[in-house]
Amino acid sequence: MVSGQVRIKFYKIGDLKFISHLDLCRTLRGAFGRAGVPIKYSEGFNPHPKMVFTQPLSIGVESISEYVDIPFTEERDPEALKAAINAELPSLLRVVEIYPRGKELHEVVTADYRFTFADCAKEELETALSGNLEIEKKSKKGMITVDLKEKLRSYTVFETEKGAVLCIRMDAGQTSFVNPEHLVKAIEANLKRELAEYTIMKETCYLADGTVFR
Amino acid sequence: MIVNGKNIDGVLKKVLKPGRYIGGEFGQIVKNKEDMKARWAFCFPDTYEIGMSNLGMRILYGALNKEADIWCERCFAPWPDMAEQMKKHDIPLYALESRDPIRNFDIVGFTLQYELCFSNVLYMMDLAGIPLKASERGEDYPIIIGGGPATYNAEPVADFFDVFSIGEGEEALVEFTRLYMEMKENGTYNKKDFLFAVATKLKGFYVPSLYDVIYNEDGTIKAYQPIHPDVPKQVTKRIIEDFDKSYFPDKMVMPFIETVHDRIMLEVFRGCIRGCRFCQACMVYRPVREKTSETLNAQAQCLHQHTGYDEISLTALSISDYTELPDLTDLLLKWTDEKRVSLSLPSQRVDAFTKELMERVSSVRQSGITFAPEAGTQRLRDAINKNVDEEDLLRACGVAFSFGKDSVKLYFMSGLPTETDEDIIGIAELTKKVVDKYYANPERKKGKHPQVTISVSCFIPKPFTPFQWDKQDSMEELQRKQALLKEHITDRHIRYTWHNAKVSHVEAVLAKGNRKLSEALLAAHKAGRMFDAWDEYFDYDAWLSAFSEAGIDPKFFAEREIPEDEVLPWDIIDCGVDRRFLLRERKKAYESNTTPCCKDACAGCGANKMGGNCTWCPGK
Repeated sequence: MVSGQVRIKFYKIGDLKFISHLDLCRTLRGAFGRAGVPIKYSEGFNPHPKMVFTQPLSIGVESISEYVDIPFTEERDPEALKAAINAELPSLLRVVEIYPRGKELHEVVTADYRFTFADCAKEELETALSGNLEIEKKSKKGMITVDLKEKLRSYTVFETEKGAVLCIRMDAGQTSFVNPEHLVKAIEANLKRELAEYTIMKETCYLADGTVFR
Repeated sequence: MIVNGKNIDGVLKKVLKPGRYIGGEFGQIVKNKEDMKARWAFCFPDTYEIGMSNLGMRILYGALNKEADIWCERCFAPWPDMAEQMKKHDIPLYALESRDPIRNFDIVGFTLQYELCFSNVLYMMDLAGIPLKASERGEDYPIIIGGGPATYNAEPVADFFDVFSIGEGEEALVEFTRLYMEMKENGTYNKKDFLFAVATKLKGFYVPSLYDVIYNEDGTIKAYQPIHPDVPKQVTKRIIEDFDKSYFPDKMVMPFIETVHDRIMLEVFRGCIRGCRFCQACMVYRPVREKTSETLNAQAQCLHQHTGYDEISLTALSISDYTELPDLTDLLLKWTDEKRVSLSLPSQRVDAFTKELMERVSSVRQSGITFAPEAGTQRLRDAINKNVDEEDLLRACGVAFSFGKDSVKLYFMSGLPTETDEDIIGIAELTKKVVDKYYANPERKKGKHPQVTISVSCFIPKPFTPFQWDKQDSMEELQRKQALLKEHITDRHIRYTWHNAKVSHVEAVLAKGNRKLSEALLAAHKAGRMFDAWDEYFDYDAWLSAFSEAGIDPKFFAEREIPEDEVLPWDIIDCGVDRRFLLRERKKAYESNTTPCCKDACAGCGANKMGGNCTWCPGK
């Protein structure tokens, strides 16, 4: 049974990568409501369910490592609840596990991503990654230059049937974060062409000491 | 995402709100293509957000999909940024469930909710790669069918459609599809024979190609001639006879992205007992048929269970006229409070707006209240048969103010038949009285002020109303009246908004047009017209050029008073309400005489001939 502070791990894959974070929140809230998740509501004039998410996924990024923390008002059997929620969700959005909350969500510092480029060869990709990875980015102070290299931890590149694959660990926390689409932009700049067919999957989140977040 | 064998991920990353183009929502219906005998693409010629808020579309999506061998999918008008990408990358318009191009479907249906969507129908057909004119589409293309309120005069788009479904579609569309499947199965199908069978065997279907329109020299219509003796001279609309037992979807597709109406819509009754003389909906949805409060409560509970929505909107043309309204709110309130579900009502009639009703539906999120007095003086309100007076309005506003509401919105119309400047100035005077009513409330909070918003639209004479023969004011006159009203609004607590007269002018032409308008629509389409209901895309000058290119004088349709003996483009349709009734009502309007509502006395509109479980009709 789970009660109190509960963590729900879920995946959001395939075409649902085009659903924004806000729309994801609404979809989950609806499913949780229909499945009878005992969410605690905020106090006040217009009570709303308390839900805390990991860093929002950029549009276009899939993930098998998403989390939402919810305070429960009653205890529940996690397996039965998981089945009930999944019955209320579209097939590409699924709860994987429900368990008592451990480390807090903001303690996530890095994450592993898998990029698959259908229209780029392994050697090309390697050369592009070894080049300059500075990008222009909008910020509150106007356009700023960010060097992504400082935020990349380790990576490997290999060839598969589906194209060149890049497995990379990079910053994915509150203080330092790489938008995976920005990395693609930097690669495209070095290649001097647009990459049309690629997928990005967020696979695992890590804490500061390198242990796996769950 | 793959469409027609092509990966369109790159495109979806470039456009606004890609969540509109992927389908895949919870509750969408997916079937096995191979097992289907007919595939429908139900198209809504506006954005996903608007279309997914439309109750009619949701009902028909469910009604068709409840049939095991029919698969109905959804399709909406892509926003221009997406359309541009689709053209650039050769992506045909596709249905959301299967992502298959709609040009490969058996039946493509467009729901025509308002005239300004006509250009979007062509825009969508073009994106689908379907030839626009029915006469240019061979056997390989789907049957294109239209339905919805704007088909009561479908003549302006008649050249583009194979057939129209007139009236309520829940049963008719299933019959239509069954006939299609039957003819396909027994090998007798070809488009021409099928359409002939639809027109002659089924009720409520209008096949424009089966009629020749004969014109007089002055451009008016002489006659509609069926091209075969078996083709009916007039097409009578369909209704659901037993509305209480009619099909109602117990599940809903739950959109990912925010839509206009993100809530449960409970359709309480069809039709309207009031008989306002400008209102097309009131006439064409008659006779009035209600659902029982038990049925509605059960449907609300079921929908709440399946959607989890926290708001139920009770919908009808005039919700306070529902005979079982107190019973229904009692039944609903038994469970809605506990489940944090609020009730809301659309615009309400001032004569039925009471403290008791307010207490039942009061919800914290509803910040303002909307009323529709429609006209500024009692004389004009009588002429349009609104049947409310100043006292009613001030009392209703007083109730709203006493419940702590600071903002009231009032709907008016300008350009109504018999209107004078006095009536326009009356709008300003009446609104001022509403402001004064706020300050007259002894319990009002100190330092608080009211906000009274008046929204003034331009009258459009619509088919099947007593004002169908009347003309619209010229644009100059409408604009003069707008300025006159502005001059007379001096109170800073009144906010005045008005509709663009240019939009209303084009809407009137499309509403009252005949088949000759098809050429103008084609010209408008070629000039890039689309999303005319959206301010940022409406282009009046482009419409004027399209009319002139097609040799159409827009004033002939919008600004000409039609003699009562002239053949009207929409005479081909029988909407249930009798022409003699409309004429009687028109005469009374010009005498400023009112007609009692159905509840008080039958005015003999004739809709009772349609049969069905009418709530108020005599001799049923």
